Amino acid sequence: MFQEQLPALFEKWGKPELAEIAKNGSFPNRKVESWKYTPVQNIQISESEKSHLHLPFEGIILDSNTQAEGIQIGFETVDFPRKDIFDDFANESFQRVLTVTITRKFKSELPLIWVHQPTSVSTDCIKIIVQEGATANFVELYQGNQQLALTYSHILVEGKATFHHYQFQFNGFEAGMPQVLSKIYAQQHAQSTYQHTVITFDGSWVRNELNVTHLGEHLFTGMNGLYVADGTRLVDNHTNLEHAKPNGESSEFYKGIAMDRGQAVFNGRIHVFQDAQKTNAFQNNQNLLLSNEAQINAKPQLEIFADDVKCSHGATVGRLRQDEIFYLQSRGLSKETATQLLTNAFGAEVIEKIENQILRSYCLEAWNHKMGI
Amino acid sequence: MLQIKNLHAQIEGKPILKGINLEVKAGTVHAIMGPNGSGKSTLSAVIAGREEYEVTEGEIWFNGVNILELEPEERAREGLFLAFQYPIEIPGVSNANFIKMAVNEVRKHKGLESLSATDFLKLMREKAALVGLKDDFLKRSVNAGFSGGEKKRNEIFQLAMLEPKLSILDETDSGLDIDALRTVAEGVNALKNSENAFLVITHYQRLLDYIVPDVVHVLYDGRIVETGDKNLALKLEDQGYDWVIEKHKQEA
Repeated sequence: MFQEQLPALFEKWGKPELAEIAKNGSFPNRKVESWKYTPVQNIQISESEKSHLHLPFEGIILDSNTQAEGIQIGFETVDFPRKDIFDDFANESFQRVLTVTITRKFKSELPLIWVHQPTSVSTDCIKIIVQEGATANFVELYQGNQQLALTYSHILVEGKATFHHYQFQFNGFEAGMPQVLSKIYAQQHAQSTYQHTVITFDGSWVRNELNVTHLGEHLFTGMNGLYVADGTRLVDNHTNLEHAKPNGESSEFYKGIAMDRGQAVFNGRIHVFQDAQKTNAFQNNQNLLLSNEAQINAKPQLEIFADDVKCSHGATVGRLRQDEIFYLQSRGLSKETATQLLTNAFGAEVIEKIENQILRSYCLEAWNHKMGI
Repeated sequence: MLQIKNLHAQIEGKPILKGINLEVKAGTVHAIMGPNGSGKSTLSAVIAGREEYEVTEGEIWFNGVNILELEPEERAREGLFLAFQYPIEIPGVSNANFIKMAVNEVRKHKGLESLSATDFLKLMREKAALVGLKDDFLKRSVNAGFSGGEKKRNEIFQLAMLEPKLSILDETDSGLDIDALRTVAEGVNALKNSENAFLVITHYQRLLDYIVPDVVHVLYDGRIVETGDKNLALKLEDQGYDWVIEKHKQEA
């Protein structure tokens, strides 16, 4: 089992301190509310060689050697909140964290790319500072198979800055998609925009934790997601938005599809502080359940302590509509094609929201390929 | 072309059609009129093969095939077309891709090759113009965010692309302003020939000013109770349905 396998893997990797934590610490189990539907024992680790990287689109790869106008590379220490044993691994490993400062001089249209290529278990960490008035697209890409990428990012979006953060968790590389535990901690200052988009339709075990905190007023947070659990795959999205200041605006739109024996989890917490008046928060979570063995656990979690706010939320779990299938059949398409087309359309709605045209096309193409269209 | 014999159908155990007999020949336009709740939309849904309706008795023959045995898509490939009263929106699927898939299914069934991309585009533009839809409509998602009029035009566009033998227009006039109504009717008239037929289902007579029927039927309480020529429609426009209900309510 994963938990028992881990100490030896860390030893082999030359990380005895992590092996020690793995041996003595305890892993989250189903008694822990936020891990109830996400069994860690389902993670399966095998070792692999790092294979050559073919980027699916042009971009600027972030590492210690990155050189680009308006980008400063450095190293800092970062402390992440300790909530589970994975956070202990992370904090123990992150002595010198790659720190990327994006200044207003950064004018490139190209996305910044952070690649995760675990050969067994990796702990990747990055700190990004988007300076006042700067704009950037940031994409996380994955390569692997039965490996695990633990990824931690600390993002600071300063005043009037705009940051688009994408996680493309699908088989974009020929080498495949690893298992992922991702934790993002983003903080935003006044009049900034943080737009997050996560698309997951490969990887046997994926859990994404997204935490966003408002440090200033008149800002916007966007959180979009598409997750597909087919086969025996598990996808878990936990989002947590801290509306800590007045006049904040947020929009969250996650769509999920579970079929075969797949399992999907969505937990969307929105916390509106008592003095965060005039907050405008919108949350929508739609799920499509396409088989009797598949499972979806969807939980909107709104905690509102201010009284002068606009907050709306909706969560649905349903099947494809009979009248929609019939409409396509009446045009000569088989029931199977109709189902495929409508499922594809259901997911495409999230991808269509990607502003960057190159990234949108890339995702749409991959999605259509996944759905056999 | 179409022969319906003693058709009975029900939904959730409730009988709606109670013995329909109807014959439609190639080259003709039939209108089916009737008060609300008489079974008009059920009839069109049953012919097109909607699963929720259970046929308890009777037969539907379409060009020598008993279509009650066929799936909806097989009926469509045989040349049956239903223009929906409430067309469905399909976000994420462009009109061009959708109609291409549909046309290719029908062509495959006929043993024809798929059209080349250029020929297809040409055909789509021509048919879109016929119903007054602009080229950019082809790139938009099927009916997503369309006005009521645009949705109905799209139904006739699809009809024009698929070239069915029998087209059923289910309340195509509902929700249309007079300009859209005229465009839709002109589209239908341009597609009419001696090889195909139309079954126009409507509550009101006004669509029949533009698409002139050869035969008019009145459906009431699941049966065809009156059949006549276009003057029957004019009489209904003039006098309403009360006389039909009065005359036939004993039988009901």
